[in-house]
Amino acid sequence: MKFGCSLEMVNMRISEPGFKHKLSKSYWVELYQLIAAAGFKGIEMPYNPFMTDGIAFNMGRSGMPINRYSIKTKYGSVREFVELLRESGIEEITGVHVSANDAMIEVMSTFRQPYHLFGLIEQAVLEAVEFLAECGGRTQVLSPTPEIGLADRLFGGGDRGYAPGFLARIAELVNRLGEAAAASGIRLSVRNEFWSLTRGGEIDAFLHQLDSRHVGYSPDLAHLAIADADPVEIVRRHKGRLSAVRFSDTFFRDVERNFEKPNPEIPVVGPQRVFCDLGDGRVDIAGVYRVLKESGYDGWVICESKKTLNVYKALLKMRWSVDHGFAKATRGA
Amino acid sequence: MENLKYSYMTNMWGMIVDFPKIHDFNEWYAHDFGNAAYYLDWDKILKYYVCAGIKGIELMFYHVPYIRQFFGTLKDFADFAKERGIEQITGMFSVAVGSENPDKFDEVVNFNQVWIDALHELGGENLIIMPAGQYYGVGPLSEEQLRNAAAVMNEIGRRAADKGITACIHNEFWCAINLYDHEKFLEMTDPRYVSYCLDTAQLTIMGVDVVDFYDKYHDRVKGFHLKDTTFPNAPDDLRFAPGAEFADEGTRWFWELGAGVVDFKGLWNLMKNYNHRGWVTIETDGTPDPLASLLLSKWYIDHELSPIYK
Repeated sequence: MKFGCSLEMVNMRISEPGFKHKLSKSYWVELYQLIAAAGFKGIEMPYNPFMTDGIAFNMGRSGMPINRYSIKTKYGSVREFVELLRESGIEEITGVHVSANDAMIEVMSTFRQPYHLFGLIEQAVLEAVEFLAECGGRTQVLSPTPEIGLADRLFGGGDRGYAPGFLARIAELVNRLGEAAAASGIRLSVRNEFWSLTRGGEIDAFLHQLDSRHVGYSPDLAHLAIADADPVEIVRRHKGRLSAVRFSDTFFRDVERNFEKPNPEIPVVGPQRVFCDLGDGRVDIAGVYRVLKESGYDGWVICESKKTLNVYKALLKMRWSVDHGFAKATRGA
Repeated sequence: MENLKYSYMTNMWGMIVDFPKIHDFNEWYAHDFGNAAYYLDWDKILKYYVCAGIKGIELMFYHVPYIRQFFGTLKDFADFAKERGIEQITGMFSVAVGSENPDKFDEVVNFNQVWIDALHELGGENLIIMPAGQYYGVGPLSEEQLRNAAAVMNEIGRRAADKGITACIHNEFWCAINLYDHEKFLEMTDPRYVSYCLDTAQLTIMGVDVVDFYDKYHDRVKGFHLKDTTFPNAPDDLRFAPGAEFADEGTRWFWELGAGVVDFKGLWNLMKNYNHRGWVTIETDGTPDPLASLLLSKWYIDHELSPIYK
């Protein structure tokens, strides 16, 4: 088992003093060094090829390595970017994460018909796979559905009766993309956020529709817990097809059913802080770690403190959790 | 009644302020013991503006869908702001990326029609538009491409006027329309429908004397974006670089009013001569501390510029 770190812990939607520096290349170059200094030798990156939405447009012209275009314009080329990472102490881009929700935002930003979503997801995954192959990465993570709140609005007109047919079409697409990724030596793996149509325990039925030869599962522990699923049980149930397991934490309880609203990670009523630094929350990280050890999992575990309020402190807290927290808690198990 | 009223561009705290209101400070203070909760919501940030004597705000076009999601309607957001002392959503910033390409005429115009309608619903008056994409990968524009871009601006301006809104060109130092053709472009547009928002720092970095420019084009200038810079006349290779506005080294292009080289006193004297009236917008791009920069800029206005003209 190897421990990496997710760049998605940097919240590009936050308003805070010092935010503007996150848009400069220098912020990211220093961050790569500090990630390595915290002992993480692999990183998982978000990948969003769409730049019509204003927030995505700003990310794409910043130093954030969000897609091939941003890397080419700010780092010269993919090869130079990978070299920079290696000089910083990061040995591997373990994978990239594409979210169907970014494709949904592109549909909305360009005022397209909802059915364009499927083609945009395909476009994003294929571009990301090509990028990942050039980087030497192995795992293409995909969040296969948009937020329920947006999907309900665009596909359901307020009624979720569309969901089975929608998921069947998504499954067919994911299987096709999994086969295409495999041809490039890359494993496609799905992730289910608490706001996804495959949220929590719904992942079981969805995985049943996917070809296990080409499509794996990347559980995100905080998202499972928020969806009232037991991360330990889910990980145990699917231990044979895991990759890029995301260790994340939360103390959030979704009492206001934010999962079915737009922008579910930014609640307007009720509790509002959805994620916390790894180790601070209620997720049984040690229990999941124990299952992974027992099952002989030898892939990457990607640590994340999503939307942390202090990236540097969170990096060190994650390292402490790996060395002295959940690992120690399971010693002798 | 003062001639100048102050507004503030709201994308300075982050790309967007998400939460309408943080209900429980301690939820964010727990474990971190930091000040994050003071900057996460519109509720507090709007109050900071009002305390600084700022009674208007500008939005970015991409704020609109999120505001609808978080507040319900745009009017609900405007009412939320009014309850905290913001008198008007004065304007909105938009872009006309691709305007030089005649095949994109409808797409770019229709894109901006959405923001015209949104600004109308918000009760705003100025749609401020970056007239083309970034220079990198697009510029320089040919004469024909400039004419295409001007045609787009004219059509947007006509549609904006139908809703009582003024469309204004906003020239970034990193825009495809740049030092060598920005005046030509302005003159290609129809003064009945297209005005100008003079960004003091962007033009200075581009290599323009903003006092001379205002003197020449004061009839076209409807609004201002006020910020300072210590880097006048930046060379072409820096302005035309990819993502030029976000400097790779993290250095600042933009500073508080009075902290750089822009001749604001000269500008205020001209505003007095030409009896400029209406909203002028303070910006604090690039600062690590928007609240401090906002207050420093407002201090400079109140103590150095308002005695000249207000």
